[in-house]
Amino acid sequence: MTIEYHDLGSFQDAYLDYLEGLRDGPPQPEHLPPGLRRDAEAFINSITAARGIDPYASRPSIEQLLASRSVVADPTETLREVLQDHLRATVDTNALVVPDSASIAAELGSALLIQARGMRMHAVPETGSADLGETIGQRTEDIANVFNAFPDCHAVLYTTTSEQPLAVVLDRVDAYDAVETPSGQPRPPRLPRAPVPATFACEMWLKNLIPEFQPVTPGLLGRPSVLRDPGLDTPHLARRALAEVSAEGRRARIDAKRATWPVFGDEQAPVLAEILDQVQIGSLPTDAYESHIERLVAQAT
Amino acid sequence: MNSVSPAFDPAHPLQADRQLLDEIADVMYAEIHKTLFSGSLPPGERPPTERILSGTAVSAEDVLAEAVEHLLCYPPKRLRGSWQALGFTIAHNKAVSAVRAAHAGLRGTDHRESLHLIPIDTPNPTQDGAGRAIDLRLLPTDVDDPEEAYIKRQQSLLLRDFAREVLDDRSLHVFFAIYFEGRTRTEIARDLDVTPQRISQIHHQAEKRIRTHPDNPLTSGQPHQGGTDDH
Repeated sequence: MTIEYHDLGSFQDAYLDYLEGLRDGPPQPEHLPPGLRRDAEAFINSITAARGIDPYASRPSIEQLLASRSVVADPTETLREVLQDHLRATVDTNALVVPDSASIAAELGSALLIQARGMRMHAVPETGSADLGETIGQRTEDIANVFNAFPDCHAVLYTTTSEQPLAVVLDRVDAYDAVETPSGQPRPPRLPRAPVPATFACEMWLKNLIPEFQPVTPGLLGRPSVLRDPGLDTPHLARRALAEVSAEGRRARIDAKRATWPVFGDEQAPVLAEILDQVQIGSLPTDAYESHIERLVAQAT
Repeated sequence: MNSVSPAFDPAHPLQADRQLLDEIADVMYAEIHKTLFSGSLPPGERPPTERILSGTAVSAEDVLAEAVEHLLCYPPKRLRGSWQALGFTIAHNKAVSAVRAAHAGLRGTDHRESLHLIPIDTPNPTQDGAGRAIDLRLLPTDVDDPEEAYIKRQQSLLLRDFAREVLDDRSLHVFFAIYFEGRTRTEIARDLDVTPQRISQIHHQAEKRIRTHPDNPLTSGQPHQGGTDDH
């Protein structure tokens, strides 16, 4: 191999020419005397490895880096996932738990919005594993503000954000001071019941409050045999209804009412019972209904 | 909403060894810089001066935050090799995926929902800030030996820090511009209002001073063999 460079400086210049696009191929360390080749290789390695690194950049500290990821580590995010998964599995397959953007923007206390079975529940978190019985006194205003800000809020889930969060579902009345007996003094609210696991609290509140409606089968209303109640005593119901009308007429202060309503009695019960029967089996069109009513009134008067 | 990345484990070994974590994060930062802004630049090209991915708001710091988060969420039981190698690999992969996602106009990682769209008035989304075509084929996708690559990046950082210690401001400016920023000697000469030959002289003197310094961390313990490089 021909020695083309007799000093490291000229080799480096040639290599920089190559990097700058001024020559086609890079110079080879073998073009140097043997004693300089190792330095040449070190130069190539160094400049290749360093190229592209910003020497003036200052790396953010670990704390700064992790702080910028705080949203990911937000404990309410974990709670959101846990609640949503549990409610979908137990209460409502369409249950949705989302960050309460409106509340967060307005700096209210609610962090999550729970939607299931048509109900809307806001979650007010307490940091860590706080004792909710102790802390509710300081959060009363926050909870009341959530109820006031969101008229469609059916309840507030007051919850911890610990690994196994405990929670209580609060109604509007739970967020206000109450006058207690026998002292007669206003007292800050207390937890209406003991905290339970947050998932369980949500599940039980929704299950107890809102029955699970089955979807309506198309055509069901057109099948009167399904709707008819065989245990219904329509003559008895008709007699009771007419007796109430008659009694109310006797108590009436309006002369016309007092004169006309008491005339109804057991005599008209068969006609009224017939109307009820026909309504039950779905065979009472409007004109037939009106005809029955006219016959009933005519019979009474 | 997509799945959430696991929370940081306060008992993670790297949380306990903050010195090691800082050292790894330094190397990760360097690797991210290098991958985002230079990749494997061909001769005649140099890294962009704007240190944000073209068409996005993504910076090296954004990618580093994601990479460090993943490193600290990595279960120690699953570790094969060293934390250094793992950190390097994560940083490299994050940077590559950021470049690719930026190129596609969508920066979606496995747990981020935010979209970073290339502005509609960008003349050509496959060009960088200087109007040059982004050649994604130049991105090294795999790291053959992350341990060795880690050491190389670390040596670059040692070189940077040592240069700061032993060079004067003018020499340091030239040294950084040539070694790290990939600027041409002509450009540097124009900035400093001197001739390119003078820049070469300053570079040679700076390089020699670093190379022959007895405290050079990259050559300490190795007898220096060069000696006929007078120029």
